[in-house]
Amino acid sequence: MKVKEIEGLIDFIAKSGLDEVSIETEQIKLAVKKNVPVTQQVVSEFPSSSAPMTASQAISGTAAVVVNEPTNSPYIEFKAPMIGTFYKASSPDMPPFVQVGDQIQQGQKLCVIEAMKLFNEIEADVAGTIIKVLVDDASPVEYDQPLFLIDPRSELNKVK
Amino acid sequence: MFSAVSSIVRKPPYLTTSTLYPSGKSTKLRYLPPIDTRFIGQHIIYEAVCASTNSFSVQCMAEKDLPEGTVVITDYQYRGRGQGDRVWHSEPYKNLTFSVVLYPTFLAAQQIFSLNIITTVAIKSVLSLYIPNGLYIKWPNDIYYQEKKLGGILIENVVQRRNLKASVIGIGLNVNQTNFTFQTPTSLSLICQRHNSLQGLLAQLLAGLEHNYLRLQAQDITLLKSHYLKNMYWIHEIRTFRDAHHTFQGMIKGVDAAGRLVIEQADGTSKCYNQQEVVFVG
Repeated sequence: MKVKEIEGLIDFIAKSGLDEVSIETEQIKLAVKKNVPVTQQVVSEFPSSSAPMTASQAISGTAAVVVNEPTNSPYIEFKAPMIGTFYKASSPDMPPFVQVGDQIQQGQKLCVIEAMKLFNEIEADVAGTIIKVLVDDASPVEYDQPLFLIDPRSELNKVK
Repeated sequence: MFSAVSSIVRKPPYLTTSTLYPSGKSTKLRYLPPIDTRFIGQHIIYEAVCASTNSFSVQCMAEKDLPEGTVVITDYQYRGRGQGDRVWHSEPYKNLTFSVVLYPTFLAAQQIFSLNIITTVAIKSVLSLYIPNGLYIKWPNDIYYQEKKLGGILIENVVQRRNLKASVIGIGLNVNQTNFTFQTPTSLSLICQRHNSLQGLLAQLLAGLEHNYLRLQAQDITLLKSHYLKNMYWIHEIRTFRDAHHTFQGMIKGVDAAGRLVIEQADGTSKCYNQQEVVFVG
């Protein structure tokens, strides 16, 4: 969904007399509330857009936009780069690549996604701490499905 | 680059040089003639005995940078890996078991199934020179002759962000082996009724794979994809399958963009299956 479309939607909602509207599609989760303080946080990227949208661009006089709750969340969702079956370890007899609480580096292996007899080790594209594993071992995952919740504000990162 | 080899597998104690090379002569795979390719097969790592060429490739990659197109080949892999816990059985110095190291950084992870397409079509095309009819590609990436398995592929990749970083394409082909523990596999020599040169076949396979890989690099695999579809085992035939819920009759129509198997059901609707979600019954 483009910025202009979102602006148009907000305008429509602002004029509609509704106090609160919540919309969810595959690409975007949009919640609009009237008379709420402006938020500046952009939490996550949209797969199809080329430039990140800032809340300030989309705000009209009477409404604020909250994009993908929770507001001001520092956590990053690490998403599946492909469809397949998620495995937390390279084989059943091995320990998992990462566990909750682990400090991870960029390029570190997080999991394996197996698809059509193609075994794929997935590397982290950020450094940080694993907050939560969002999928079960040996469960199917879709493209862009969140797999891990990562806190990029680790102690190591602060030093950097 | 890859994580550590999954488990330490000990070499069987009876595998000594004298048992592997009973007459004392070394195998021809140790000394390969120059291969007519640009990069695939220009750097060869030969290991007489190893657990699996894929695992050995991963180990070598962890130790040093391997040039793209490096081929890791063995006379005997004693723990070749199939899907999941399955093992690929192969008698020493009778078959081809090798891996090719590639860096398809141009390939998005979403298009990863094209590696299956380029590899299976390359193998099938080369084997067609030996076997004119009866060759099929069983989804996702097995090579079949009629109802028997002739070859298998295992591809292991590293994904960075949304693209591939490295791939190890492992190929196992039954060539001159004639005795099998189970009835299900077959070999080139059983089909053609003659002994085949492993060297010659390897050179042809590497050239074929390189040709297809360059096509993939040029984003020009429409023809390869249609070859894959045309030669799919059971394509357009009413057959019996089993999924998590039931056994059913269906017809393979092809694969979707992600490489999932598309089977038309009895009611006319089509359903897409990931691997291990469907079994070919008969």
